[in-house]
Amino acid sequence: MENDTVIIDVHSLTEKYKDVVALDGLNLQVHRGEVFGFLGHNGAGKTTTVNILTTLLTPSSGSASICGFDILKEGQKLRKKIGYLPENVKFYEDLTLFENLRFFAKLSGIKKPENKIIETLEFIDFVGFENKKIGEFSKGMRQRVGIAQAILHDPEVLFLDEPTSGLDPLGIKNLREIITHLNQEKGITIFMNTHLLSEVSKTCTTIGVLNHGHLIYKDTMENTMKKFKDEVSLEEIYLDIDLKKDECCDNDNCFE
Amino acid sequence: MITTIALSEFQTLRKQKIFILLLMIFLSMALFSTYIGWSAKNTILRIYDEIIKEMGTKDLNAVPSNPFLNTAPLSILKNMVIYVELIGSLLAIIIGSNSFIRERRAGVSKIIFSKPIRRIEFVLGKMLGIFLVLTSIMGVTFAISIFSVALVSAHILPFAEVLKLLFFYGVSLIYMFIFSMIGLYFSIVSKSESMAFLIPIMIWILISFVMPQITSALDPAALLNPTNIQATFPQSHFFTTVQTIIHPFSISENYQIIGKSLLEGNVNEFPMRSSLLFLVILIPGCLHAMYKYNACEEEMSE
Repeated sequence: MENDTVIIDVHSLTEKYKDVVALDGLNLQVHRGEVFGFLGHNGAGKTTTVNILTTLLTPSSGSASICGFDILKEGQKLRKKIGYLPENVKFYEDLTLFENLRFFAKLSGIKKPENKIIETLEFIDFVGFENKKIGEFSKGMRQRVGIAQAILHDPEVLFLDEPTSGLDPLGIKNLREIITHLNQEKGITIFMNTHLLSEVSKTCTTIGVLNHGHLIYKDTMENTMKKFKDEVSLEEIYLDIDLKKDECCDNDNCFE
Repeated sequence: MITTIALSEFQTLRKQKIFILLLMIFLSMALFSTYIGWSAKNTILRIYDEIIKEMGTKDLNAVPSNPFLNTAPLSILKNMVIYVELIGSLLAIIIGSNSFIRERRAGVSKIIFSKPIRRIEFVLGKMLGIFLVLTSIMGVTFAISIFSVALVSAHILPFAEVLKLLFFYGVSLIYMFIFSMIGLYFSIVSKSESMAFLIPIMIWILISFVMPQITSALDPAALLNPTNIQATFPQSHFFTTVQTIIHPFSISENYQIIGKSLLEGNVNEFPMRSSLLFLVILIPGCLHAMYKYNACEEEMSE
């Protein structure tokens, strides 16, 4: 599925909230077809990065483009190409699943969304709940609805912010399968924020590690396993990267 | 996009209990206003007939004229001005406040703005939705008025009167839209839900009760004092100045002037300046609401 085309291109992206620097000159490239796992501890700047890339937030400085569209100048065109699942996804609880999806489908520019909704629900194996109110759904079911709203318009890139947070093991397994299907069958590039390393090892093709707004590591999963062959698990690799960052120079990607 | 938001607004309001309750009260009042107006008119006419009969038996020639001879057929609806001014405006505030509070409560802003919709389109959609809801309410109220007047007076209103009534409800629609925009504005700028309701309610109290008290209500209150007929009412520069300054901005009073001139038949005295004031208040208010929503990026980054 992967090819050499850069689909997410980030240059010197910086975000400051008053005195706090959330992102400090982030440089990052994600290729078409990749499942990119964006790792980092809480407060590392992962959500800020996704908020900027989905045009929800304007960066203090720097630039980025997705599918060739600039995040600052071509936000509307860009948003047609992306899907987004926020952390702790929420919906109109008083509306049914179908009503919620119809609303979001129309906002995505789908004029007659009924067939598309059914098709999407079949794809994520979630048929039979259309007329149920979202308020009655479990966390795992809501995550599925979140994925459904994000892929209704066939995006090229899907941003997932901590998608497995709060899910039980079965929910995590189901979500992992959906992500893999989306990447392999629909060819969607996935950008996944997470701090669950078990998820990354099972789903991602490439990983990046963010630390205090700096990208301190980025490589394919395969190379990472080769580089850190002495470590028995990804947890150990992550800790190794995180510990060694202080020994490195201040440049980004010091492990590359 | 704008119509999608507007229709969604229209559809979701029907599920809100407080909106339904106030709407029922408002529509019932519309029905009762005709009955109250008709009943008051009949009472006065009955008294008039009894006086005429009494005068006939006493052989008196100076018969007073019928007090309703020259009144407009729509005058029996004049209570509607008060109902729109009080209940209608409150209903409009609830509609306006709820529109953004609903998004805030649901927490769907992030998903919405990750779709190819501009914030300005979203606000315009909300405004259009509110306008559609208010137009529907006014449309139903108009129909209730037409049928109830036909029912109680046993004849259909002439076309010219129907037009006047339509114009009255058009003005009422703008009046209610102003209040809904006040509700919408504070649901955008307020940090908490309670403040988003509380501030518009305080403004409603100020516009509907306080401002009329410090403007024209001062004069009749002084004139009603029966202690000395010769005494002039206490007019001072202070009151005159306050009245002169505040009266143009007292939109409830200006609405009353317009409403009464339409329903009681004095169309020649239609206060054009008051009508323009509505738009002068409404347009900058809407524009500022759009600007504020466009600028509130912090909410997205939470």
